[in-house]
Amino acid sequence: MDLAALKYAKTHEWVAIEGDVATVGITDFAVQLLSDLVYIDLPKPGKALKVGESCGEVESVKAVSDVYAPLAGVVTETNPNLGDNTEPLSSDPFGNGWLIKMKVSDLSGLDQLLDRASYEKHCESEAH
Amino acid sequence: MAMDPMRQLERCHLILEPQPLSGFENMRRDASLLSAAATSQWPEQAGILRLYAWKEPTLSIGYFQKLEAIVATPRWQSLPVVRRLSGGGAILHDREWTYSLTVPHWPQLVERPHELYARIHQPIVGVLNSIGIPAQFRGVTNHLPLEPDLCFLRSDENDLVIGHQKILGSAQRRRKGSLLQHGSLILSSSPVTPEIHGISDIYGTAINESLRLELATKIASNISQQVHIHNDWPAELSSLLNEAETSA
Repeated sequence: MDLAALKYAKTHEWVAIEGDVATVGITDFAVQLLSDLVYIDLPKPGKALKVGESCGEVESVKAVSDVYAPLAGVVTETNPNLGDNTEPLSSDPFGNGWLIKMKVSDLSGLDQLLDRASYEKHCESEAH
Repeated sequence: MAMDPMRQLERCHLILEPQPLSGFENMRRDASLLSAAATSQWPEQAGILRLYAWKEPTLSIGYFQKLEAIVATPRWQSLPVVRRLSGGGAILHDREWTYSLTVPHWPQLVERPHELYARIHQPIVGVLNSIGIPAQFRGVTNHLPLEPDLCFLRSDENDLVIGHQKILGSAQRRRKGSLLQHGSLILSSSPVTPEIHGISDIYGTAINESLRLELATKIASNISQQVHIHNDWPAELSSLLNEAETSA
């Protein structure tokens, strides 16, 4: 996965866009912050999401965190490899650990997301 | 455990809830605070530490715990059960103290959010040690393939223990940069969970109201420059309890 080709939300989701279908996951920075993932709950296909709406919940050891939709659209698929098994997300957050695919209803939302360089700066500001 | 002393909130409002509340109301208030922490009505650079009691023995379960399995267990069947927003295992709230800390933006406090456990637990160790109770961090994590349902039978490095007995555990919910941390300190064993012992059982020390206040004040002053103690919700903060919980 070419990380420079992805778009990023400040809440640490990444987006890969192909036509009007977005693949969404959470970044390595978020996975490190969560540490020791134990459970992931994802929305069912067909669910309509607004930008910034919760589209999943991730439990790490004794902490639950929300995942947010970086774009508006409808969930078309969730990663069948995730659920009780969180290993793909821990080991490969930008690849096998993707969370959902969605049909995007408004591609102009991409303009509100960060490129890789801006996202890295954002992470530095959060870490220090 | 190294912590940056510069990371502090400007102030912490310590709310000593004047009455024991129902499980539903305690959880509703915490959910409201977490939602409010992401809004502009939240007091800038402030945290809110609630110290509260439960008006009847109540089981709170971790956010992802399966309710069906819990209610099928005979000993819980006569108890009210509520779901926390935070993770972790089930806690019987009987003969214990509960705190919740809500902060709007955790980087002000700790480099990584899980470090907040140590930041809150350290002053509790200090106070308990000062009265002769040898509480300490467990220091090691032993996760079992199938974790026990009960929080106090689980094991994490940030737990406070006396010997092998866990007396304090905490769990978090993180949402849009805000954070809610729950914790429970076991004072003495409940008839419902006789296998779990509290401070009084182990050390015979009576835990009184002044110690409760000292513990809460030390926690608040370990995370903030100024502590404001409130014996009830002041008007300027009470609107934060009415923030509807949002999914976003």
